[in-house]
Amino acid sequence: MMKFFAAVLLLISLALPASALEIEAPEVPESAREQMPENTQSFAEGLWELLKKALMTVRPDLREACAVSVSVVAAVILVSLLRSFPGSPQTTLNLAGTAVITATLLLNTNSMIQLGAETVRQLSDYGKMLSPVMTAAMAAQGGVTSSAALYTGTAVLDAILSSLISRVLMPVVYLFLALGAAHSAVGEEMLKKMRDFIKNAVSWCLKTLLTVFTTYMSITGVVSGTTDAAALKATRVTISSVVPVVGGILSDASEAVLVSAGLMKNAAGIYGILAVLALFLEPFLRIGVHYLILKSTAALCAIFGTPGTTGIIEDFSTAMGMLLGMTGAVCLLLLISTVCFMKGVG
Amino acid sequence: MGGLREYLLNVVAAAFICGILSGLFPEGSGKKLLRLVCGVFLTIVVLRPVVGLNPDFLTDSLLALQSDGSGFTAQGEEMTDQALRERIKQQAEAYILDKAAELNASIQAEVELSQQSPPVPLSVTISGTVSPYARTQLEQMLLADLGIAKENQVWTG
Repeated sequence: MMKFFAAVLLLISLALPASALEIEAPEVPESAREQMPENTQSFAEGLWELLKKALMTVRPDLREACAVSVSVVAAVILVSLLRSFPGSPQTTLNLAGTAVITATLLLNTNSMIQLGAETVRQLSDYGKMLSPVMTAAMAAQGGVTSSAALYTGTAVLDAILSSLISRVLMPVVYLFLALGAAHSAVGEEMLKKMRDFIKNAVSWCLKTLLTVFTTYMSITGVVSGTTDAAALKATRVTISSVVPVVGGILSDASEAVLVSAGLMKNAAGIYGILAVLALFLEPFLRIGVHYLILKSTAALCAIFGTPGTTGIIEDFSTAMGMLLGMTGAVCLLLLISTVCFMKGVG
Repeated sequence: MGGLREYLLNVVAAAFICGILSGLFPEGSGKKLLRLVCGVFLTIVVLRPVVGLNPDFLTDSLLALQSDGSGFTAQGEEMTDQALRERIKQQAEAYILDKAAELNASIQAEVELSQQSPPVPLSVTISGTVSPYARTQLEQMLLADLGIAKENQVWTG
């Protein structure tokens, strides 16, 4: 008889909606709404749709980057031709060549730096809305200690990384380009060393912050997860110690609520990841196209150009690489934190 | 942003001054000394904002974020608690109605839960027409199965 009632209760519990549990990821910002896939329930399908949409948007940038590349190659050929004439003013030609190439590339690079800065800001803003939802969702599933610790880690590292990028690293890209152009024009070794120092410092900052973040998330996941699992076990023991029928009701209800919370958390997490990728993929691919075209241009110009003119093209492509690293780091931080929240308790 | 522009201008200006001085100076042991001085000067200019950082601000920000985290966690716990209460209430009421149906009694039951965690049925208000036998059986069931004391069983109608 008890088994029959337990079965009836289980059926009732499965049929009842967990109405008090309403966990939804924040809606994707207006700018990325078009990129957002139709089906946000399936991660694989959503990701595929996102990629297709993002790849469609890079065509104009590909044309633009190719046009700029042709101009740059023409300028490098012209400088090389003029330098080949006997008695030509080498230093003046070097300066003029650097100035022309810098002016040609700067417009595009500037718009890419602005795009990168805007993407970092949007990703960070979305992360600030998503983390609280995932924290509450994880706490609802029983991960009280883990969720608080993960939230603190995510919020601190996100604040540090996005502030560092928007306030220091993005402006430093201009400084890097200025030093690169100055080195290319006058060939001063100290300028080259400073330029290299900036490149290494940016790379070091991003790598260090991401390493600290992933280490913190891994340790927190294990330590706090164990605490939460123990707390859940203690609750189950408490439930089993009450009157049998009441214990059965409590156990079923508790299980059903935890399952509902888990399902909602995962749905919110998948939507959140797709929203982060919708914000990130298009700008990343656009900057990536410029980066690859500039790298190819530098490789082509190395055949017939001077070290100075080839060097400045290399520097512009490195600047694009830095932008890719910065936007990628913020995106990776949000993805790692969301996955850690989704991973659950124990 | 103004402060940042000023900082970057300072760094660029310092780098150019060092570059020009280094270019003007003839090669030799004096140039090595000049390079060293320039290096120290540039390091000071670059690191100046780091020295001016206020550690209290960082501590306050961290505490504020921890407090936010606790708030969001509390929201999650509250959501679970509310959902759990709703489910337990609905299941307890469904259980009572099921038992009443077995005794051919047509009733409505309103269960109130305790404030403890996890919440358990504390009292019940039952309305409808019940035979004396069914009522006795139900009273015993409420006490034995759901742990609701007789004084907390309210019968109306």
